[in-house]
Amino acid sequence: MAVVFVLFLLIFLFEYSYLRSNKRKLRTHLIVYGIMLLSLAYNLAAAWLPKQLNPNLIIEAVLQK
Amino acid sequence: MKHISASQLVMLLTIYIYSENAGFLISPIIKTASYNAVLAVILGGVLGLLIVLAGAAVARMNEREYFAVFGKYIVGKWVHIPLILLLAGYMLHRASMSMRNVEDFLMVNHLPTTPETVIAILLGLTVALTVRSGIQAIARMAEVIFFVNLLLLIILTPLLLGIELQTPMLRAFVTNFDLNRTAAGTLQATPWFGDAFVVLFIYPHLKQQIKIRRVAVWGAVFSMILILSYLVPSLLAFGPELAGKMTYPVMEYVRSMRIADFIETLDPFLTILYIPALMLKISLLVYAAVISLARILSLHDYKPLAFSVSAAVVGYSVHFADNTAELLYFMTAYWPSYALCMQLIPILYWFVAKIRGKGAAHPKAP
Repeated sequence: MAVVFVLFLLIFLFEYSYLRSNKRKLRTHLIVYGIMLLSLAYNLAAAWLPKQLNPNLIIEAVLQK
Repeated sequence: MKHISASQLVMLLTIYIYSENAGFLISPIIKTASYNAVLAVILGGVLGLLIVLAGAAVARMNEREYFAVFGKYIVGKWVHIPLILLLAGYMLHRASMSMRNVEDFLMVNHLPTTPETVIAILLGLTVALTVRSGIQAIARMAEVIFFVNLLLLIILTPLLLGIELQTPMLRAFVTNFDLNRTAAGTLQATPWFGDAFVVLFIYPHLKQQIKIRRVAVWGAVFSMILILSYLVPSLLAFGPELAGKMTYPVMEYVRSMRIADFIETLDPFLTILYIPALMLKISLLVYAAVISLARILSLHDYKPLAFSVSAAVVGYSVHFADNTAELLYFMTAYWPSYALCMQLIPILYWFVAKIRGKGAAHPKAP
């Protein structure tokens, strides 16, 4: 979990400096951080409950029907 | 907009199609189709090509715009957005599956004591940086990898023939025909080639005068030759029973070769072929997903999404399966049907566009 947080902090700092240096709009900042937050949430959830939150289970369940 | 030439696209498609299939999907198809694997790959190649051509026909309806943008003019915004999210999800799923294959391959053969997460993070970093470099960089990488592959194939083929191959087994490719096994094998091989429908998402980056049909056919033919150049010797060396039970039959085959005392085995050469080609495939898949996401979110610069999306792919690849056996089972039992369902989505757009007539892929004039 700690590794995930550190990696996302690095990604955040990198993208923040990129967006700032390129003078992007606030909307672009919000979308980029929104996607980043989704990715972080997925990584944390998958690390917390790897069995239950595996999307392959959905594919298997749909195709078994 | 930076453009990719026809020759670059042929090389890109060849490396993209053959890389993972020749490396990791030989064993499942031999297990399923036995001696009919060769025929199944050829039939799968033809059917996969039809999927790619259908995708290319949709892309040609609006050559200057991304599919993620013009798709809404064909089927409507509220149908298009869920479908494009499904397609982006499929491409990320495919990228995760390929990444997991690389992780397992490296762990089993070269880095047995390295934690899987570390390998995954390093691979993810490579993918993110490649995606950020853009499609032009990916196409140039493909050129280099294609020629390295060709060179190694030319050097290795005479050495491969030095191994005791059971050449009388060649007869069985014709005499042991089984319709059920061939059909099951074809179902498995079709999405290998159908995966090239990714051209639909990068179409505006291709040179306008490109003959996409010819390029797709050559890409499929070259990749088929390369896949068969791994599949046939594996079958002839081990037979269908043993090769179907091995995780990496090509690796075992190359390992059994001894050419000189100063080179113990030749498997590092195989790793040189596999890893860059697979990184290229993963990068192209992630690039197509990222650019589609950026377009539906009306972002003109896709680059800030590359690291976040690659991080999701890394997380997914680590939790994709508990072990290699489970991964192989998923790839054999579930993945082909799932992949075919996703790869046929552009055909739905093609039908709707044909019903709606000319100009369906363009915005209505006010």
